[in-house]
Amino acid sequence: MNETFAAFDAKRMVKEIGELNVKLLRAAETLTEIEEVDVGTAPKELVFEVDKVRLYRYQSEKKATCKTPVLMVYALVNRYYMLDLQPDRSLVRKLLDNGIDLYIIDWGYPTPADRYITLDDYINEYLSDCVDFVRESSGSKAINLMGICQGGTFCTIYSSLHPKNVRNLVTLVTPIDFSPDDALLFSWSKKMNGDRLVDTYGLVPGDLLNAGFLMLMPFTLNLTKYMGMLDAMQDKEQLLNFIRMEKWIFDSPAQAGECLRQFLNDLYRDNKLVKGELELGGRKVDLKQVTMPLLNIYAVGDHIVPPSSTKPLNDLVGSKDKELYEFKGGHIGVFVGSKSQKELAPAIADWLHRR
Amino acid sequence: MGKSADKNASVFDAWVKSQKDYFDTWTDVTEKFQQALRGIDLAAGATSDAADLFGLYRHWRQTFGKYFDSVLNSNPLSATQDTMSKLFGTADTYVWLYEYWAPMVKALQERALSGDAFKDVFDPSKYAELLNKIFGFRAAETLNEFVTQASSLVETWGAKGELLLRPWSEAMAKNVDALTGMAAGDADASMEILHNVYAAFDSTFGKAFKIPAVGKDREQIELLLKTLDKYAVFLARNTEYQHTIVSTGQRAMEKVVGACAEKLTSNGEVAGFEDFFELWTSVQEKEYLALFKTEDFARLQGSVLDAALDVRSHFYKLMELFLSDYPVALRSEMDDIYKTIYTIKKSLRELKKVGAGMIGMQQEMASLKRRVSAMEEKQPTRRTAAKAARPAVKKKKTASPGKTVTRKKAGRKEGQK
Repeated sequence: MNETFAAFDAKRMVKEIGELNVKLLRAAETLTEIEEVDVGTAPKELVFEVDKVRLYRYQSEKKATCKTPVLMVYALVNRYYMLDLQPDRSLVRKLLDNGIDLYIIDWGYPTPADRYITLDDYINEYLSDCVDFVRESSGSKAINLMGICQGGTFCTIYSSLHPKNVRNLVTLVTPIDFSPDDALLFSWSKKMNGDRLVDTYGLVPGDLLNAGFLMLMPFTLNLTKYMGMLDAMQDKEQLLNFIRMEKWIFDSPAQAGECLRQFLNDLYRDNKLVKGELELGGRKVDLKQVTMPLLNIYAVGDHIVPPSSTKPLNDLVGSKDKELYEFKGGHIGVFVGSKSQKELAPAIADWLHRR
Repeated sequence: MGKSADKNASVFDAWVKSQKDYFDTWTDVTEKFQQALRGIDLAAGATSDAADLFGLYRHWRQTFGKYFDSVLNSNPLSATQDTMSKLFGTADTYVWLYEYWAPMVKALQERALSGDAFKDVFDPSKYAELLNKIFGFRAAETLNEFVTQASSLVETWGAKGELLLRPWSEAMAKNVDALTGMAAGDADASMEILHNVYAAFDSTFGKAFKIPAVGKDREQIELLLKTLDKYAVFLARNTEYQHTIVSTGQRAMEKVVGACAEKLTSNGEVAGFEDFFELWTSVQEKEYLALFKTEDFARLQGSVLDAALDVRSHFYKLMELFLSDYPVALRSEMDDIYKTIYTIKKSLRELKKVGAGMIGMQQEMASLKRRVSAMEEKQPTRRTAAKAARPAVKKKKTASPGKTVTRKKAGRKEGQK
């Protein structure tokens, strides 16, 4: 034991550490050469805005073959450009290539002045205004709604309150049933005092929510991710791809306190949506009123929104035409993975074309 | 871009070269060090000896760290800055683990280290430091500063308390002598007693009558003490939380060592450091996931967050009190304004809807009128029929200029327009 230090191979040790530091320097060198981190580059046009909410319509060289336009609704907790992270990892571009007329909502970056915006405001005002705009501008009485994650929850609630405005509903990795404990976020949220969080901050910082997300896999997300990239970081393109994802991960908007309060208390804690007890704008949200065709997509390896939270939607709605689609991947892979580009986008487009 | 890229390349090439020279020197020094130590009975604690060696690395890292910082600051993109910062932080963790791995592996090879004996060389406080870094257990600078300031304020308050009592005790001591004189019939003694009492009062409570009302100060002190109390509660819960995290990490480390020993026993090979790093991270992740899934942990985490928010909300109240005398908008005032703006916006939206509804109604009315007119054209009403039935009215000659013609109007029958 005492001879341990005297006996090991110092040369090899120093060589390994030295190689590590050379990689570090080279990575730093490549990082300094990056002038711009471009995300969300698919061409689009701002067609409508209200307060901080903006509605974009994507431009495509190909003519839309699906007559009814699709309005994509992303979550509030992250930015929508994850769906169009880079040209070769873009669910948006794939849907456009498959003949979809696509709109998307940008919820913006809430400021302290927005702390009193409620869940009712987001769904029955902002989302409703955007749906009405798309309906009027396209001449369609009802449009297609595609909701992602929390955006899917919003779309589902909207569809139950205004079913006549929705032709088809597509939900991706959408939390509906918040009772399962097989996802850490769900079990942790139940033990959290949401009222104190909102009363203290008013506008809850995005960094705080991010810290929670990173805690789900602390070693993978804080250590191995970076060490794993060290070899690839000398390639500028690979590094840029990595940085784009990093930019999205840490670009978390603050959350309007009152909306977050109701989401945490009524959904995460009390699971009112599936119980039929959720009230919005004085009206009860009844999932049986969702009668339009439904395509519900879940990711098998989703550690943020487990399948046990997503799948129950199909049993709760009143739709006769409903489909459950299993995607073999994780929560993020469903948007940016190569499988998503090859399989998921065409499957969604095909489903919509047939309706 | 080309010139700056060339400039960058030459800077980095120089760094790489200087680092290579540094590490060659390091290798040379280490070999000589080892030769000098061979045969000497080293004290237990390979970690400390290894630390001396890795101390050289840390010194290099610190020296070049400032150059890395200048590179970071010159880069305008926050995404790349953040990534570079995380990358270097991760590398430090990687090397730290290396420091532990190298002597451990050798000890395993010589069968001098088992899972139990590992504890002798394992430094829990250093490992806790590493885990604290990974999990971000670092109190905010503002909070630390606040606690330092608040503690010194409370100490000052205690010192002030002593100042309050001392004049009275001194006066009492003097009065004892004066009472003796008064008993002996000294007329000046009673005046002296009165003088001593008045002086004590004037230098203590009497000051209160000469300064503004102390309501706000008292409120500040009370809130300050309450905040410190909340901070103590947070510290206690956070300590329990950190303890849970660190002890889980240590248990995981024992499993890692056990796995390494098992691998060595089965095939006699020592895994390279990269394999060890992979094993370490996967075992740690698995152990922590098992901990995170427990209800006890969820409850503990919730209580730590609750306590932290409690401190924060009291801190905000304290700041409001401190800032209330300054010409700045306070948070509570801004919240009032935000609430008013929100309510007005909502009312405006409702009114717009009503207005849009009214416009809609107007358009419907106009549309109805047009339909009625169209129907009237197709199906004549009584009025139009009566008009059609009336004989054509002959045109009467107009009077020649200068002559006035008076016509009587025909009387209208009831019902006729």
